Amino acid sequence: MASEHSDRTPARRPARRLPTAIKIIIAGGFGAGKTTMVGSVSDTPPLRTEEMLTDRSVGIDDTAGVEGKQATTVAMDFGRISINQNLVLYLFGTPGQERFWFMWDELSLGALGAVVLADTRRLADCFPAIDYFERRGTPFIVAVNCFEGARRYDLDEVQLALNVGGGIPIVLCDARDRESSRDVLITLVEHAQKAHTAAH
Amino acid sequence: MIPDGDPPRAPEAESGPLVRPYVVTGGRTAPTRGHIDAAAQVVALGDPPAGEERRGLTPEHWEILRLCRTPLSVAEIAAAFGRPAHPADPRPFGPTPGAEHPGPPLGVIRVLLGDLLDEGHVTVEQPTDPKVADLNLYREILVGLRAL
Repeated sequence: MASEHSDRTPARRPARRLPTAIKIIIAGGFGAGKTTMVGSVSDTPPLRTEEMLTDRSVGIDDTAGVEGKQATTVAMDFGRISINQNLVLYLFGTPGQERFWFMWDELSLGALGAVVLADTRRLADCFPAIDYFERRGTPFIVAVNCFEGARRYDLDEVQLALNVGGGIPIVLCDARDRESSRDVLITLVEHAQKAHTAAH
Repeated sequence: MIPDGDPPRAPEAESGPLVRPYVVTGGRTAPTRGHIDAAAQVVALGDPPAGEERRGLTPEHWEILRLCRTPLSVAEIAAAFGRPAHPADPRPFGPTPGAEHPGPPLGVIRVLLGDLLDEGHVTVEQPTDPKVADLNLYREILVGLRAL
């Protein structure tokens, strides 16, 4: 669906063209700095929204089902970067728990790509995200968030430990820092651009 | 502009936090249209509905129309739902702003947007998948990011 209008009111038009929206996913394990990165590089502090599992588990018009269900709520932080009047990037931090894969599927649909944030103190926490985007064929990069007090690893060491394909960029970053987070996004967009060029 | 004479009632003012958010959709959990992405852009169309067109619009529909007088994503509508537009302009909506009040679930906003689409009150545009766009889009994004 590119754009929808009701046929009944053909006279109504938007005041101006709707901006082009682009989705970027910020993934990684719990506490890897996803919300921090979303906040440091976005126009405003991170916003929070929720999805309910009942969306998928209850049929249309099934009021009784909604009332009887213990609704599980999944929170998701996101931010916006207005590139210009006609182009807006949305950064969505994925819910950490893997049982919420259905939300990852939804977020990944049509996304430009993903940043997988890695914490070297708990490197294995980002493996599921890497597996997920590899399987889906979503362009992604790995950004190693350099926490204070954590031992600094060489990129070679991290690459070896992550065992990702040679073509996947791995960068060091400080998710609290706006310029650093911006550079991570630039690396991702350049990587996705290459993937796009290679595919066409 | 949404007319002053018809202020939407705060959905949570009397009942406390919405523990059963789908009450405002009459129990419906899926919109009448296909899936609407969290990043989809929404804008209210033309003048606010009047007369016959207002039938069937709830305060929650009005709140969405208020929020998307300028284009806004579905996720932003959910996050801003029921919040004062400006701290100096407190409106009779909902709870105190804060992360502990993320607004209604996205699914509720989607159902209400489906209604507004059906009645021609809004237009919705899904996010662009860069994989099917031309390379100029990537260049434009990169130019914008480098200027941050």
